[in-house]
Amino acid sequence: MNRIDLAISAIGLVKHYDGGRAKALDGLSIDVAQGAMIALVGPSGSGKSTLLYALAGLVDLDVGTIVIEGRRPGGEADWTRLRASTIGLVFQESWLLPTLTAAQNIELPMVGVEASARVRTRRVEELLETVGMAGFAGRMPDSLSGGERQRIAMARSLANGPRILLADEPTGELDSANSARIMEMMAKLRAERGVTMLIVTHDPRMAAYCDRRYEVVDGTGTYVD
Amino acid sequence: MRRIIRRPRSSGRARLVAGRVPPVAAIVIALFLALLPRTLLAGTAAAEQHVAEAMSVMTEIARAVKEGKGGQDAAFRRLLAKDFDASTLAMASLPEEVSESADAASLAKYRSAFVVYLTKAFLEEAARAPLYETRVAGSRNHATGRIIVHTVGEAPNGNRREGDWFVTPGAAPRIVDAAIRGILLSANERKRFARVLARGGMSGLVAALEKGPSGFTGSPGEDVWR
Ligand SMILES: Nc1ncnc2c1ncn2[C@@H]1O[C@H](COP(=O)(O)OP(=O)(O)O)[C@@H](O)[C@H]1O
Ligand SMILES: [Mg+2]
Repeated sequence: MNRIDLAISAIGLVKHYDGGRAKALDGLSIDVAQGAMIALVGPSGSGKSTLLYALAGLVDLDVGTIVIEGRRPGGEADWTRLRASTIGLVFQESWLLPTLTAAQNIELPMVGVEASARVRTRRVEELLETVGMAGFAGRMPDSLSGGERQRIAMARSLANGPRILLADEPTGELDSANSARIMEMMAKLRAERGVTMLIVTHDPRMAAYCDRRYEVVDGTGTYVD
Repeated sequence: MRRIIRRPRSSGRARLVAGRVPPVAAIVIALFLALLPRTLLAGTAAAEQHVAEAMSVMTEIARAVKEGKGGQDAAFRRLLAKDFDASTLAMASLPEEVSESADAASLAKYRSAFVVYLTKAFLEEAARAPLYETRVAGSRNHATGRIIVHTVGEAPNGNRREGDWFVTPGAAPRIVDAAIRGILLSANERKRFARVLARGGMSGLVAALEKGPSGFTGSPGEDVWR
């Protein structure tokens, strides 16, 4: 019937650790519309990171169903393909490879996906511009500030044009000026390209950029506004 | 004739091009776009115009509600009939197994109850929410062939309400679904309706719909129009 699919629909996710002592996810369900920008909030240890990694297929769930853009990934190969094309991940720490330049770090996920080196190079240039880092292509990660490294990491997660971006405290390590740049960039990506964003954050300013807050408590959660 | 509060701005795609490429290239691209057959561009332009007009009517209705003027349900139902494809939205708001198995008579009852419900939901939430002035901020094509028109609403208290409106292409566009502040209308209602369907079946759902949002329980995150 040609319905509009959600970007993400997760139903009844359960992940217990240590024989049930740590209930990282305890029956959590969440729907996220395409193009939505959602802040995942909640106390430390409530299951936010586990949820984010589960939505990227990186958690071996005890129970639960995850549907991405209307399709249920069938196995490891599906998830790998999704992470290479549809889903981008951003972490609190930027995890750039120290022996590669900024440009090479950004290019990395495209290798094996985009065959043409010329196309890759052009896209790296575009991405550097998108994150406001044009002119930093040849810089090594350890010569960059924390905020600059995070912007390169963000460019890397955008390399293959993901339609869904999952970010775990992307501004957690940054001062307020750099945080603001990252937030503005994310808001712009969503408004202009309709990238769906799920952002774990403790920063009320970041949450204010988002459409709504989804609060995770004890492995379950709901939209709170 | 309807008044349009603010003219829609250029599409997101055009702004993206303008922001990223050198001026000469931008001129070349602009020339290229200008020479494209009008029919190729008409879809998005018509969809943006359509949503801009619908937004302005919704703002007028919300304003009237806040001023305590009655009779706004008739205005909202006119908007649904003219600018939305309420039937498609209604069917998408049912769990698939229900929309596929229910008989025609009960689906017809459901569709008219859905309009009553949607009208009440909009008017009740408009009464509580701040008054948003909404403008079209861009558009893009969607995998289903619909055009997504992105809107930004701003309220006097600084609240923002962004929306993505899924519009059919062509000369007579209709809104078939919407994600308002990140919640997809059909999926949100499907969740609400499924809880009632599980207890009372289709007749229970129709009865609940006729009561409006008070016929349903749920979290504040399910009130999409705020
Ligand atoms: N790999 C793991 N092994 C054991 N316990 C874990 C593991 N990952 C997460 N947990 C536990 O699950 C709970 C949720 O963790 P997490 O998702 O990281 O929370 P948050 O990101 O909200 O701080 C915590 O109690 C944490 O200790
Ligand atoms: Mg965490």
